[in-house]
Amino acid sequence: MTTEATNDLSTVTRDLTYPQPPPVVWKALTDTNALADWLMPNDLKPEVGHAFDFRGQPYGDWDGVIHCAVLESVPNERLVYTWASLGVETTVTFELAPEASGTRLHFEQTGFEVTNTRAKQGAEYGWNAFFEKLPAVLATI
Amino acid sequence: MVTRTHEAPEFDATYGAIAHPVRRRILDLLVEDDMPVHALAQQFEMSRPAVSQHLKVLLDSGLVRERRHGRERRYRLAPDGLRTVRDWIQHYERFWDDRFERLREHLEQTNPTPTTHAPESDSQNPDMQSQRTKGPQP
Repeated sequence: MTTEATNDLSTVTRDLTYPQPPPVVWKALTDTNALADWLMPNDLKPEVGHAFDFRGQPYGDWDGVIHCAVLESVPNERLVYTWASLGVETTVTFELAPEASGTRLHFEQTGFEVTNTRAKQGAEYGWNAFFEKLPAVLATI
Repeated sequence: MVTRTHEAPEFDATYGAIAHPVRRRILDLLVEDDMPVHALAQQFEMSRPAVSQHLKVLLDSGLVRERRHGRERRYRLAPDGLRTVRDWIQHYERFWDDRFERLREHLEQTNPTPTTHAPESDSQNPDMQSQRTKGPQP
């Protein structure tokens, strides 16, 4: 399954620039306390295979917990982890690139496919193909 | 954040409905035109009752509506049903926009004077930075 399509509704993409250099931004992404300051309390370690949780404010039926596991960690460059909550498992990717004036941060959250059994039956069929059509359909609403 | 749309039962129905390849194919076909069940069934290598079963799931989820046309029943796409999907994704978009703004604030507080490799005139000016960053998201 491709995750390259960025304009479809199965991916959230953001490109941002921060004035601080990559090591500073990397620290904000990977240091437990720094990360808690802007995202959520967590026990992240930027080590491949490390399983950790984010603990948000419980809301309604949601216990506030997001289960994660580090898939890739390249200091100052790339951090990828799974992001699972309420039966939906997505993947978040942070990519850092130095710029003259700081750091370019490319962010993606991919895989908005429900991972319940019913969803798995259909996994072999391109979700992206379907989602690519969605914006056009939604535009008609 | 991630939850509001998840709590709605129609969310499960919508996602359940679009989770099956046959049903997504049916939706694709109905994007083009209203169709009766026999015309839909011709597009699949499965029995008409099987196609009808899938149609029923789509009808129950509200993604497809049925209309009687004389003795014939035709099916059409009801795209409003997909709103929950869009709202769900938008939920995340708002969540991340908010968090990345907080990241910016965090970085400004912990590293007020950026020590970048090749400082340019505008990168030294915090006013310009914050102007660049507020406003509508990309």
